[in-house]
Amino acid sequence: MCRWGFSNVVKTLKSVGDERVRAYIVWLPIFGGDFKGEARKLSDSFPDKRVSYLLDPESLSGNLWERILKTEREIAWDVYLLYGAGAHWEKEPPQPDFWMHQLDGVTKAPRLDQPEFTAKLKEMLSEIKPLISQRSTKAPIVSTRAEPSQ
Amino acid sequence: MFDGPPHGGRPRSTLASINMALLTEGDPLTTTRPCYVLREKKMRERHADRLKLRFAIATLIASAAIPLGVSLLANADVQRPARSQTRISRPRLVELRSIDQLKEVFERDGGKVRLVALVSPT
Repeated sequence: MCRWGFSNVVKTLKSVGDERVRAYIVWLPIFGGDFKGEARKLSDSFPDKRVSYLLDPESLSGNLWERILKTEREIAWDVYLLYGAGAHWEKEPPQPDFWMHQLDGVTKAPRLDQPEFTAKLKEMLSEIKPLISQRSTKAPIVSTRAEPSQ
Repeated sequence: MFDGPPHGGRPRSTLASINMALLTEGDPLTTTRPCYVLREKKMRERHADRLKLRFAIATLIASAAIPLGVSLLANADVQRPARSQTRISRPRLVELRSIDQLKEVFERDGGKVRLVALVSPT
């Protein structure tokens, strides 16, 4: 299931090549097995400079986000969160602007749907003021030299 | 004093003339040259032949390989997929020892849309 979730994140990132996206893939040891080896393999399968891969053997992140998302489990996992450009992490991470999951019985957010997740990511990117329009708000550079009189 | 060849050839007066006789080809006086001289001559000829053959093979290979290499390189340029600017050679996998590590990257990337996925690799 989780590999499927990861593959959906990869699909999303491949279809949105925007440099204003950052992704943090946090690997949690939910099912045991060769957790580190598998995490390494999967991380290597999608090298992208916008993506940070984190190995979390103590499930620190799962515990933390469980307090935020309240999935009614010991730890939050199989969750996919989106934070807008203005989100700030004070003492704890803020509520995500949008999130999806692959958990049974959780109704606080929709189940993971890759096209919908991608569409939401694009929508959030469109809300960031593009750099070109920021530049265009500046006063245009014009010559202040007076025209010679005829 | 050298008295001439043992089998009755023309006598020589000096060592220099003997050497000349031994090394000069076609001189009727050198028909009694020792066999090592002939062997050396043959070896030199064979060596020269081998060099010629090697040069010919190298020329042949180069004449075939250079255009092939050029064509492969030209095709490689065309066929190579456009490399995404976001691609990197091998991603770093950082072990999370404190949640502050994650907080730090999250805050560093402020102003960008951030995606967090908590997943199991197994």
